[in-house]
Amino acid sequence: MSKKLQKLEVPEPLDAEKISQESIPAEMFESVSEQTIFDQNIEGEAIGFFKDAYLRFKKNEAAICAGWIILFVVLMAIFAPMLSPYHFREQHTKFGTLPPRIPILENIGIADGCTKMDLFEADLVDFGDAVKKIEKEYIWNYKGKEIKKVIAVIDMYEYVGAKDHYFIFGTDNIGRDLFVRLWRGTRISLLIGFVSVLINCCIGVTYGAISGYYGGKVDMIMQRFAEILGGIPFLVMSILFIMVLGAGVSSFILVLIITGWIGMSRMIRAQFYRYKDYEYVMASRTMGAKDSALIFRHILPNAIGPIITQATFAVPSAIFSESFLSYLGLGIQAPEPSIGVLLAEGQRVLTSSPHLTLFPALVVSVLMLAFNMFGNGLRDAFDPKMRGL
Amino acid sequence: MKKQKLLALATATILLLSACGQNNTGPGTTSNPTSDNSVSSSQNEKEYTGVKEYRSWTTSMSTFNPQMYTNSKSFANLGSFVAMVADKDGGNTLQFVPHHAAELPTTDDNGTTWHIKLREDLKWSDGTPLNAKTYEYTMKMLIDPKLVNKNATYMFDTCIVKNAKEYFSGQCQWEDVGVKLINDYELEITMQYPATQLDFYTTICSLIWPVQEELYEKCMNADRTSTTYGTSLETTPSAGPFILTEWITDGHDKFVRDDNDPLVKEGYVKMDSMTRRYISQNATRAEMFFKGELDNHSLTGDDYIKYKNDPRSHNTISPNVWGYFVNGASKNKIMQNKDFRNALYFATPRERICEDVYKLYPAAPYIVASGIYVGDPISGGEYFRDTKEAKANTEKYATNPEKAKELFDKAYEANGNTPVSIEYIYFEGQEDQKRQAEILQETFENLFGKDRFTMKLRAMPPSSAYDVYRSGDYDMGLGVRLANVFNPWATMNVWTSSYADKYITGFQSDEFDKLQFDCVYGDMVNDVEAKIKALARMEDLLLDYGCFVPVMQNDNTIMYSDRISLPTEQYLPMIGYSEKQYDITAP
Repeated sequence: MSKKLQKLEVPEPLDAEKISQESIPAEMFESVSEQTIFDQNIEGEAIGFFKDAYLRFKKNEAAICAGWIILFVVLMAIFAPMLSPYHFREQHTKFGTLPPRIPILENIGIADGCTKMDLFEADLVDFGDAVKKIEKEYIWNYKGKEIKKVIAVIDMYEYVGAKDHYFIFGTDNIGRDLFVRLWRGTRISLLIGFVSVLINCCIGVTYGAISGYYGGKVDMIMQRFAEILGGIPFLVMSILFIMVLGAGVSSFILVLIITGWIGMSRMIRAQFYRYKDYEYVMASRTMGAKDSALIFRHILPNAIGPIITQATFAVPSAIFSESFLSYLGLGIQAPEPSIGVLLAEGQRVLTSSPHLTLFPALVVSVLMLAFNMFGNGLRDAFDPKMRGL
Repeated sequence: MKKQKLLALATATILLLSACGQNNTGPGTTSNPTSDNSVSSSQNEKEYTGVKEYRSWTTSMSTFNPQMYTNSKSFANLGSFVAMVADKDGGNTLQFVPHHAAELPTTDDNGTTWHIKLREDLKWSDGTPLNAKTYEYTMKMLIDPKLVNKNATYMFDTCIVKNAKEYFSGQCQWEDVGVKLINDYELEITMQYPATQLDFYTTICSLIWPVQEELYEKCMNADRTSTTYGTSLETTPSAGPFILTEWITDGHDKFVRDDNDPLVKEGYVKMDSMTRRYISQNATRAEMFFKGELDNHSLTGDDYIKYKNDPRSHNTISPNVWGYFVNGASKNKIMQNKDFRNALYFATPRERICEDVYKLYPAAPYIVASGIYVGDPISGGEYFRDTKEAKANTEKYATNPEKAKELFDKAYEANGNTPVSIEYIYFEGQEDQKRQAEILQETFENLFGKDRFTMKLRAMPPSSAYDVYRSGDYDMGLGVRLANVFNPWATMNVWTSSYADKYITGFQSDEFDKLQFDCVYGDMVNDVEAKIKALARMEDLLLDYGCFVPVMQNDNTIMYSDRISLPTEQYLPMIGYSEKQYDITAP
């Protein structure tokens, strides 16, 4: 078949039709309208696929709000460690496990660096001026002896001589600022999340596209391989990998991509099965398009929406996996923090220093929720069934 | 009026029950020795006659096979020839009393040949007789060359039983080993070198717990290379002050007092039972202790501030010093430089680590801990760190950042002024050790200059870390070498050239080897003064080479619930507060 487009010629009407039209007298025809009929002008801009998705996404207020939250967290992760007067490794060992202290708020008794302690009355001397208030005095009976005890509010900043410091999220037990460590940790967690998802997308899309496009034996072998890989328990594999490679950002990313691409590849394969037999694909193939062009130029663009949606959902999943593995003690190497590492450190002193768990837990929860809401918004926006609604 | 009558009746019933309870404690406890010396027990405590259950904890219990288990030095369900106990008269001193032995073992040739006579009425909890043959079989199995038991060294470490090591390595027959059965109730133990009474009692007599022959054989595999003895309740027989009655792996175990045990009969044991829950998290233990579900709890740094003056808190003195093994034979060239190793020593912020991270542990710029006792604890002696030789070492090797910087500069220059990097290994899953590593990294890098020195941190499970130390493929790593409280010279053998299970540090000294041998087996065995000087010199040699950077002594503080009455006010070497002698004074 010629590659050049052939000029289409309108076939001549049959003679019998000519005859029948000519045989009708002109006076028998009546004009419908004196006015000239024009095609209706299309008002407004033509809306493409992405624009349509964007318009629908904009209407989803929850998703927009989630987007802003993600942006805020990302910006904080990038800039907060730079703006803080403390470095994430800077230690003030005398200021270990200080509670949060925030300017202005401290004046109204919130985050004022004070903590309640159940002490022996005799021990109050050790705290000197740091004792702000005695909330309760009581007698404790020990083997027949009556010992005076008190519940005192202690200004921990005063006690350790840190009155000129403000650690707004408090400190860990070697006196490092939790605020700066948390945002630094968030940066690491986001980095692990984004990079692993990006790599998973590349592998998953290529693998799924080849598998779905060629089908047959190629598909069968590739799918069995993916199934075998997917059958290995994630936790066991992660522990082994981290034990062999050692904990670190690259090890984590590797762990997350070993099987993380399988979901993406399955989705892409399904898209290819759906589109590969469409007429336009057949036409392109008939006209001599190469397989690579068909895969990446003609079929793959149909899957852009689902890819973006799935990738968005995969980011919090990766962050969660990182936190989970770090929580189990397989975290990245000290002194680098991540959200999971901070949570693991915090849970050990949950009852005595709850702030060490509270803030990382808050950030990871908000981040997970925001990514999921954002993903839901994208899913709805890219859904062709929702088009025009 | 009715109420008053009821109250009077209730009081009378309680008094009657109390009296009955006291009468029912059996003939062995009529003298009620512990309550006589209960330093803090009140009248109310003495009156308590209800069930005396001690609720304790441990991290885990993988086996009750006494020949394999290494994390504990005593088994509540087993006895030994001699028991170490707190004296019954409230003297706060350690005593050796015959347990399975009928009397304290004796020697008639200055410590080479020992005679041990056993009691004739000893039985396992299932009624099987326990006699000298049982102990002979136990020792044979302990050093069996095929079984390769972890605790085989008890036979040839501090006190060397003649040919025990040779038999263990398959070089001689059992008949050549210095264990001879005289009759059913007497054993003769021949030593390679004369052993002091103290060493003999604290090693051979206290660390060898019997195994039941019939069951041990039944649990053995076909090629006799391993045994399942002590791995389940059914394969764990008891022959001690307590009988193991419950054991849920990863859950708990329970011991019930055996009234036929000699120590129980003689009134050393007051508890009815002891339950240990397996709890690895300290926070969980703390919560349970303060809720009244556990009777003891080891304080951590943060708790220590609140409870250091609590009457329930009791200090312990550790014989061990934790620190960093430094590999002078590392492939990393800078580690081979003595100035560099010494710089690491003097730069280590041990005081800061102890005060700010651990809070309750003392800093230790020395290898021999302050819990190490030199001399005879019964007739008189002193703690090694109180001697002038030890004090001189402490002064000489005090933390000194300026000196460290100076030494580092020299080492850096010798290294061609090129940046150096080392790797530090710490134990994973242990938060305090991670903190310690982070402080160390920050201190070293700030002191030596981040452009000239970097330290990478690497977390490892403890067992893997020790394997790495054995292989020599490391620069610097956290760890400890356990010490014998009464014979620190013996445990110095881990640094000798010929020690089999050595951690590679590159340290080798003929002077050290000779001193160690002479103190344990040679001319100085009975010369305490000379041995003190020798110990100080050995410590000096190790610190001068820089093969170990001592950091802290893990002197824990333990809280005991107010229902516990301790048999001694003072922490005693080897037995601490003598757990098996605790009394329970309230429900």
